[in-house]
Amino acid sequence: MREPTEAERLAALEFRTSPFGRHSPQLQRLLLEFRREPFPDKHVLVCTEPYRRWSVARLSGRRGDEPVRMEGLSFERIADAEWAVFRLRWRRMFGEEFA
Amino acid sequence: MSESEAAGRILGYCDRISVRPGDVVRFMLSTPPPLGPLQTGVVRIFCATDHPAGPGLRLVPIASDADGFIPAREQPIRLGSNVVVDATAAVVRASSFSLGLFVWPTLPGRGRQVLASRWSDTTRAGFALCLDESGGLAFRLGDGSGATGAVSTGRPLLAREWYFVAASYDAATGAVCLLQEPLQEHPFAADAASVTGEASIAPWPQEGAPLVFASWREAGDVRAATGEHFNGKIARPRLLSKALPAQALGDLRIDPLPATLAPWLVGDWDLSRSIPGDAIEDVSGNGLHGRAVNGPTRGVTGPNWIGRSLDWTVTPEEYGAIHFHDDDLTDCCWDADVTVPVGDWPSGLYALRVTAADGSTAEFLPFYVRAPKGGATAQALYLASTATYLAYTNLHRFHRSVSEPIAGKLIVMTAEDLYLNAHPELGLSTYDTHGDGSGVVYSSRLRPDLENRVRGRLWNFSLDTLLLDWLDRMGEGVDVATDEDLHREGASLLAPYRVVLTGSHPEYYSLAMLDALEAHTRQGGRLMYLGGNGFYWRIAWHPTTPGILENRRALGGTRTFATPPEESRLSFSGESGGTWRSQGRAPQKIAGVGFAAQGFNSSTWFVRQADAKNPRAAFVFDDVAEGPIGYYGLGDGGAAGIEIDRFERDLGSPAHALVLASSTGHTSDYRLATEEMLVNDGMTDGTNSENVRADMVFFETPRGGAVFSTGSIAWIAALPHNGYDNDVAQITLNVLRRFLDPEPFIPTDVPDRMEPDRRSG
Repeated sequence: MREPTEAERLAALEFRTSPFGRHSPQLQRLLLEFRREPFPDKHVLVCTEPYRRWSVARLSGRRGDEPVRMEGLSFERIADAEWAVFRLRWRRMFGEEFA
Repeated sequence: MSESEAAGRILGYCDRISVRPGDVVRFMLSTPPPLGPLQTGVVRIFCATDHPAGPGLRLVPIASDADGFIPAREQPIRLGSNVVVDATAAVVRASSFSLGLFVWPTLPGRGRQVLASRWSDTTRAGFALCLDESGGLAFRLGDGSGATGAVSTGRPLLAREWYFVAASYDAATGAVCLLQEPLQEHPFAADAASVTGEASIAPWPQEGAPLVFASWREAGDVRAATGEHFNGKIARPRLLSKALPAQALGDLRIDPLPATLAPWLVGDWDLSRSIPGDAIEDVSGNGLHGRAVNGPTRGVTGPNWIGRSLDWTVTPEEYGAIHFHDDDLTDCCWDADVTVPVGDWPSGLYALRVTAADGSTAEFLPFYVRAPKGGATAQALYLASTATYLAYTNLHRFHRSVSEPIAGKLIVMTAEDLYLNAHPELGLSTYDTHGDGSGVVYSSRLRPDLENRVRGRLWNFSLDTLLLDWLDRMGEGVDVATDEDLHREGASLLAPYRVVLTGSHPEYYSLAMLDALEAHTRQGGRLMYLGGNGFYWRIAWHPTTPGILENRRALGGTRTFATPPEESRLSFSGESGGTWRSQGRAPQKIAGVGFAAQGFNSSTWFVRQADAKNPRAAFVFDDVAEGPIGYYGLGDGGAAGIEIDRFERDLGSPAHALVLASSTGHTSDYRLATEEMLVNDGMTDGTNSENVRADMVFFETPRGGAVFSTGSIAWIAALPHNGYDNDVAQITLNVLRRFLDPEPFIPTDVPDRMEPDRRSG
């Protein structure tokens, strides 16, 4: 566990503004690591209403296991769900909430 | 019950996806029991996507014999492959016997897996040579009274190593002998065994119980229950009507079989014969031929493979194995519930709509209606990419954690994904790997398809309907045909049409399909390739059963798994599998552009290049304003993206082709196709590689023909922007109308790229 750098904090803010699109090298680096998150307990989205609602869930990677929904993490915009997962991964990597 | 199942789900498929007026199409349905009667009817599909930013679903009911109600019923799916030899007299008479075969297990220890059997699980009768729960060889027998016995070696086989295994049973003494013999010595592994035991009960197979390799199977028709499927390869099974002692069991592996054993030979199955298809040949002379069920992988290396050739057509004797999987599926074998005579309907995309009477759920089973035989009803033909749809059928994106970094966004599981996850019996896609890690090489449409569907993901099938919807709204009539039609009929299918239009992703092409399309462009025909990553994988179709394709991800290419080079030959045809690019026919040769890069979270736009000013292509930009083209759309917000293709003279783009426009502004989540690099020079994404781009290309072909390519999957997804009133739609319309004009295309003022090939100078 290490402290996030100032550049990484800025990258997080950049992601919150623009989850998809052109990113700074620092954000690219962070996202490569986050998105490679392996099974088990990989974060995925479960679409609960087509085009309207997505829940954050964790997938074991074992075939047939249902994704396990995470309480309170249901969103009407995919970008918000991406941001929620980004923060969970931030906490796992740095051991602190992204403030 | 999971959320995905709560509403119940109607599953189905049809026997033919391409029909003409006067033909009959049959629909097989299955629904879970709680559903009451089902209402059925035919609809014509114009727009199959309900994307909120799109034009909306457009399904038009068509009166037909299918209108009405039918009872719901559930039909089983028997997942897993095997080989079945019917219970002929010779098989039944072998009360004392010896069985031997070569085996290469991939998941030893993952539950009990049957290698060879005449076993009924309901009556516990018969025998089964299997790998037991520990992964060691075992012989199980049952007399039907409920009592069973077993003898086992107690020594697990190693995964992915060849063994010869055999068992004998002596009806007179009850002696059971087992032999487990590694073909290579594995240091420190106690994996060899020779065991003699005694059975207190006699194996009495049920009457009619077939001899089965790689699972057990109840007596009965094609839908008889099966179980304890084996994962791995089996080669050269032999059956003798004589119980050999343990020390003689090894003689069963000798080729040719020792003459002293010949009088007792019942069956000797040489799996290197009849590799294309399902036939299993008995070479004993007794004619006990069998059949492979549910598409186990053929044309795979056997125990004697030494690498003289990587091609089973050259050294078939080294390819005498079959790779079985417990998740293989090629035919649900359901009975038909609805039969629809096709009326005098306009050529187009149709579907059987099946609705629960309470309205809780509905499903659509698509099929294509062609023009009447010998009577094209339009000047243009839309070629539905049904081979590509089929390759993607029941894609399990969520099986691979790498799906997220590839897509540059979180994996989204839809209701269909949840259902697939909970119901492995629907089978896998050619992007997936089997439970044992080997790649899926066959896909069949004789099963429910949760990928290509009305209201499905905006991808392939549903995305392509935006083109159909637009064509109809523009008043541009087209006939439709499918990839299977093109494969079967060749260039004659295209000959009546001046223009052929593709969908967004015509990725999978057989030799006959590619030849036909190429012939069309050489004989004055026009081609509008409105997609990305087209003409990429070389596939084969099953030689006798329509609707099953084969693809081997060999010889490089951007891919989710790698087929081993020694198994790169297509079993259905003997042709080399892999990409067309790796076989001298890169997509650039036919379309002017070929796969370059992909990304799945932000598309961009096209910017006009110098060739856009060339008078030869002036018609393309009629009524199109200056500036970027297609900075909008349902495909990640732009017309240039998802999977994109570029012009490359070295790969066969015609020298006189005009690069009218190219995409720009791709992000680091757009990454170069792996075959686009030999050594990774670090310039491999949209921010630093000039090859991460889509090129819009036009060129003339012989006899007045022409080709227009967009090189982008996202192109069609941009058509509906602003009520179909936009530059992407205008360009597409300009090209279509000019291509429909019989005035021949004659290349004049060809650019200086016509210089001699620079490599030869």
